[in-house]
Amino acid sequence: MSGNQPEDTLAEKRWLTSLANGDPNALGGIYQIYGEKIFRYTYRMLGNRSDAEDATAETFLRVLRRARELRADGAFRTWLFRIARNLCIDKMRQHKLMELPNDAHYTGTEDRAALRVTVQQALDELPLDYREPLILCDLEDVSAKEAAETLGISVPALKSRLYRGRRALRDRLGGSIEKLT
Amino acid sequence: MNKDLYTRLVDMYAGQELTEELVEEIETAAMGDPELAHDLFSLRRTVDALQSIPPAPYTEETDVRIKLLMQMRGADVRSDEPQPSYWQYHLPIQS
Repeated sequence: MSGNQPEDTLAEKRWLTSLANGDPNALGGIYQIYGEKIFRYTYRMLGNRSDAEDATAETFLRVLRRARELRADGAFRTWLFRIARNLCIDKMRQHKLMELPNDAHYTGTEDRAALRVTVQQALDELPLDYREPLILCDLEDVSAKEAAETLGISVPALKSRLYRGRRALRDRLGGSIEKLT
Repeated sequence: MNKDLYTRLVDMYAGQELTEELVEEIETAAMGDPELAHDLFSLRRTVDALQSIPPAPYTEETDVRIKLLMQMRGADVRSDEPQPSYWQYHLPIQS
């Protein structure tokens, strides 16, 4: 999930300690490590930039509110993703009431862009139980263990959902899959 | 082959979780089994297609907007590195 994982882990420990000691500026440091990852994840979940930005900001604000409880014990990242996930689910429930537009757009040649839209739409139509493991493991490169912890399920259950999700996605893509290279 | 094992192998193949030897073995088996071949390659293509969806562009504007949202709700999001502990002490100036 990160290009500089050991350095990020060290920096994470330092910032979390600072935050737990009441240094409000430490939130900026934590945001610097995880801001983009959380934004990408919330964007994948919500398909809407404005909501993803809002969910990302709220995720870090919740970290600040619980600063005194934080421990740099390696579980922080999973906890952060879990907060982001819950916020996304809340927003998705609101969307069901309001039907906000999905503003995802893609670049590339026209055919490829069209295929990506098709894949994204098929992904969006999957049940959440299948979609979440695909987003975490196949798109955001989160390990099976971390994804399972984020979703609050066992690793075998995660893998089972991941595999079923891939098959469900394939079924939804149908003939389009033949055009993919 | 046992149906569960078959499914499991195809799943692992699609997720690129098999060792090189097993990949070779299953691909060789697929040459004589059109159903397996279709299952293997369509599932792998599905994963490839999924992974071809580009990540959300995290622009400077997005970064600014997220920080602004946090600031509006009372958070300070400066990210200056914490000062190393040795900065707390003034070293004597050598002359």
